[in-house]
Amino acid sequence: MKYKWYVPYLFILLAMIGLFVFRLGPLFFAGIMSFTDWSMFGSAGFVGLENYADFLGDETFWKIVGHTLLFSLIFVPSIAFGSLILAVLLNQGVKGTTAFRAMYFAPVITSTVAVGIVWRWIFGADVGMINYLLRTIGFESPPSWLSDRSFSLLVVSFVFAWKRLGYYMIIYLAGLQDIPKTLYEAAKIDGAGHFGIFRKITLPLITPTMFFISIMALVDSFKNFDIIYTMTRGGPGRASTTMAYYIYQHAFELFEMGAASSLSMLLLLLVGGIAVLNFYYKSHWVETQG
Amino acid sequence: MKKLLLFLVLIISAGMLFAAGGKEAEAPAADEPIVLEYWMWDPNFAEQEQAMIDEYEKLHPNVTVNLTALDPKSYWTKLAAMAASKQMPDVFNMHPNSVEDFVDQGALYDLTDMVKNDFKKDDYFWSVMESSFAVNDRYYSVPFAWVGSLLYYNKDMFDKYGVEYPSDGWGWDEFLEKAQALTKDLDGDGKTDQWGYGVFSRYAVYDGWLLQNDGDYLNREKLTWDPNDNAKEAIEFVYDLANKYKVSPHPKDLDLDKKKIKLIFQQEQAAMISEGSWNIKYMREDMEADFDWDVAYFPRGPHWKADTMHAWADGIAVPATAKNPEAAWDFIKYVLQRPAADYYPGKVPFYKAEAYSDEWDIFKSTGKPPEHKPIILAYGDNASHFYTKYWKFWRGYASAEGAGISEFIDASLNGDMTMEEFYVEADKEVNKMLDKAYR
Repeated sequence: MKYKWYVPYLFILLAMIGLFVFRLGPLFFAGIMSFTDWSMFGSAGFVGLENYADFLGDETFWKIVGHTLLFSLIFVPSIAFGSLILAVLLNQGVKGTTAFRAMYFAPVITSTVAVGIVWRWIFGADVGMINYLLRTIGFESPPSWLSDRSFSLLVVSFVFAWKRLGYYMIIYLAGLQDIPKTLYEAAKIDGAGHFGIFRKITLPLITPTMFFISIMALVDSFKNFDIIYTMTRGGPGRASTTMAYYIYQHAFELFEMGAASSLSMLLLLLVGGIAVLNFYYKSHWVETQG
Repeated sequence: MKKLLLFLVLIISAGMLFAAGGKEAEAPAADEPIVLEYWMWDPNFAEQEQAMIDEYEKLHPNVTVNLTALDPKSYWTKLAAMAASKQMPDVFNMHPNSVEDFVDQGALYDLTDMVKNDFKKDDYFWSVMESSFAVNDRYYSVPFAWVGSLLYYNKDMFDKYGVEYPSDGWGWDEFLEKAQALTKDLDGDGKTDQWGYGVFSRYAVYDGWLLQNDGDYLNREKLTWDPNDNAKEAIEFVYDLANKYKVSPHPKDLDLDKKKIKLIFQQEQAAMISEGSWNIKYMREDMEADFDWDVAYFPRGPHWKADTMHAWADGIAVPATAKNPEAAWDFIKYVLQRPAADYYPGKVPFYKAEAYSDEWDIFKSTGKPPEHKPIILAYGDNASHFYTKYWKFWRGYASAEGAGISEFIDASLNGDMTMEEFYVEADKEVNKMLDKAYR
């Protein structure tokens, strides 16, 4: 069957329009705006690299980069291993698996605001459930989890990981289904135990999925505005302020769109840089079937 | 193809000519239909606002006012987006912490001539107008209401421990004495369960202490952070309340924020707190306190000169691009005359005749607390605040509520930072922001 040269393009036209209008267009626009002092109200004046120089020379900016990386450092491994453990457990075919899957997935579809409010209460310093339990077992002065600069970022990243765990668990489950059953059967015949099977068969063969998840979770970890806004407002001080939150503050509190755009570009470089590193080292730890 | 291009060029040219002609058009005649888009930031009051608009439209049959009530969180973002596209509403709410930014961008209509023509200063709380909306001696917004910081106290708790209510013109010594008498370890475990006074870094909770000691965070001429000795004295007194006298909790022990501070008062964990006057509504209606309570003003410090209220206005403004500023101004004047009963219990009408009415003093008309609400009015002629550009960042507000000096105030109240460290850190952080703001 013959068709005109442009017909295939018609099929992807809608997707391409969406990609250009809602993704690449704004990205390109933000790139241009990052060299201006645009404040949303008036016209944008070209300021060259001033926005970048301001941030790169500012101690606060580097602290916030550190918070962003620490958030990712907690979030990504928690997701990569936590959701794998859940997926493996739920892949055993025991009774009630479907119900458990639904339960673990529930936080994913629950509003971040609701999750934040509930966990805020759980981690409350004086009336929170965790501190109540700690006092019950003898801790006289449990920490102020969200009001103490040593803990707030850890708590928020933990809660965000808890919320997203179910989503990545589903991806792992799909990956686990792809591992040929014959390999497990052969291993059992050879006398391998549960842990041996996991270590020698499941883990190596799930690494492509794990790679995909680590990239996705990395990107996810930088989109942490909602949970921080709900739980700590970036505080105490700036102890839980990350790049996403800092961008919001510059864009929608100070209306410094030029500065916010330059922060976005720096964040893009950061995420891109880590993703490239991950791809570079992929061959060292990702195994493929066949 | 050429024909198509020619057609498009003609259409666009015709459109531009039409638009240019529109700009030259004269102001609409008195009976010409006028539509005003009006944005406000409080959906809770949309019904009352609409009722007021209905009345206005009856009096002005040619005017239609379309009300948009937005949640405060999205209000400023949307307003800024509309400003960017030069499509701001014809009339909208304005706050003193944003007015300078909007003026800087040329987004607001200069109302000075209208204000001077139509307002008698004595009829209004003029100091609120001056401190909130005068930028370079021009007026860019008009208050319709104003609020200030107050001290709330639990009368039942005072009675229970035989502590006298705050006297008129009370000072720090009297305050401390009462706070100490009301701080109690109720279960005898060696830990305080009931605090004399709850305080943390929030501007509405904290800044009144400085003003009642004639203190200032800022060097107003240079627009730098440079707290004067009186300000330092107030900062150190509040520090001592938590760390030396131990009549106030460490904020982090109770996760104090703008919600929790009200809760510890409402749940009788603190006999006194300070907060904005709009919280009278919260105490009276939203989460009704089941004890008798009242309000007082912040106690006077040793260097007090005049009763000064940390007060600011809710205003109403017109965009620089207004198509019909006269119609917008006429509507604004009507809004300002609305009856006192339409206001939040803790908000004061800018128009004195309404503010001093029995309708506003609900205790007099219904017996509902607080009995001394009218003390707010006495301070209305001496309003002050610390708003500058970047105020949200350096003072710590909204999404940055824990940042700026709020971070250091809380750290010092928590005992995690000495006063010396406080001044060093605040100087570094705040001046960096102010320098950027006014560069």
